[in-house]
Amino acid sequence: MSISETEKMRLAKPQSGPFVKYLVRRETHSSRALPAIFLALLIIAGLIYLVIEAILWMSKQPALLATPTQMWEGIKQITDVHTQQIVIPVGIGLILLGLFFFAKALLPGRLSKHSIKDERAAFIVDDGVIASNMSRKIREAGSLPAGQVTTAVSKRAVDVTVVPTTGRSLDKTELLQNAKTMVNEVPLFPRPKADLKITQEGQVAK
Amino acid sequence: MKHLPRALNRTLLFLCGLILIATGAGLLLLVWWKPAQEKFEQFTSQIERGYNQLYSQSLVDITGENPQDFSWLTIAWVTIAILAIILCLVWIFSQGGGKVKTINLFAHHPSENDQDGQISAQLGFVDDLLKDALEEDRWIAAVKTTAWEVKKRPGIYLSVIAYKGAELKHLKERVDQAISRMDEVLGNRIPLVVHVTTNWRTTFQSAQRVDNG
Repeated sequence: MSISETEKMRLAKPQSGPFVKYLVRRETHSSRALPAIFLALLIIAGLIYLVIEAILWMSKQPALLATPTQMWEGIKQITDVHTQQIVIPVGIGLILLGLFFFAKALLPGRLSKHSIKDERAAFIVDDGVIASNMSRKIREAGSLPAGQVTTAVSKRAVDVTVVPTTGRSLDKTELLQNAKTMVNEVPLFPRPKADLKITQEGQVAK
Repeated sequence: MKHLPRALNRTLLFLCGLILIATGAGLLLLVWWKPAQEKFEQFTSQIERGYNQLYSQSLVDITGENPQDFSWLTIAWVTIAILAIILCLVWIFSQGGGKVKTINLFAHHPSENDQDGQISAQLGFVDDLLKDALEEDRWIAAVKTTAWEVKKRPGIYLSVIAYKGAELKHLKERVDQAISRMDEVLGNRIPLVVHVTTNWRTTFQSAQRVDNG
């Protein structure tokens, strides 16, 4: 079986894989599937209700809530003083719901994940994995018991909070250096900046 | 990977968001702004007149007993609503799919393979290959492989379930080795996503094991 020249070249190129950038982008950004399904279900529920009312009205059956004519009369009375108590909250509710969908559509939709720069594969790491790795390393570096180091990972920051054991001093510079080394030893993207904070109050040794 | 209509989702969410904001703002304007109320009343009476005229023109005798009782207009509204419901269902069910079980190794060169035949690998084969290479690692709790279509080519999604505190640099090196081995065996670099994650079990379990050293 013959392999094309392009295929030969592609295989010869070390560590390169197809669609890596495209896959990284897809895996680190939301597809908005959940809000889309929620919106579609809202539309379906509304339309099913309207269809049922229309069919009941056509077949001269009593309406579930209001006949189409009554609905139209209701719309015409929106400007009435008596209906304002309903119209105002409904208007505000619609604006808030609209803003939610609007924000979902326009914001970047970045997920709590980082990628590791790699030519061959889209290498995606949950922020939780980075945080627990960092916490363990700092805990080991400072000889601290479990539960005294917490790490928060965001797009461009890895913030480590260390609760010292009472009576034992910690070298902040050394711990911070450890944190920076950990962040730099893996080429994370977007590259976060490590920061470390030692709390004023310590924890009594168990 | 999973087929998701990302652009469609964004566009429809944007449009529906815009419509909802405009409707809500319109309602509040009608309550608080007099000129808007007057315009609205003029507008509704115009619509009502026009619709009633159209309605009376489209009356139809269906049963024969109660002539001119049905309007095609009502039937048209119901039909439009049912079509919209179907479109929304299509939209919901388009969120997913694209899973494959067989990985065609030269699927991107169909012209050559039309004559030479196709070489394919079952997903189970790739799964075993990666599990063998990774599951013995002390930081890895489990490995799961699924295959998806990526731009009409089969691709692999490798989930690596890591223990709490897993050494990221070490994991990367181990996975790189496993991938090199897989590429070597398959003879082709297929699209690949590696997702290092945790699950509820690994969040509470430690990777510490008894060492005999």
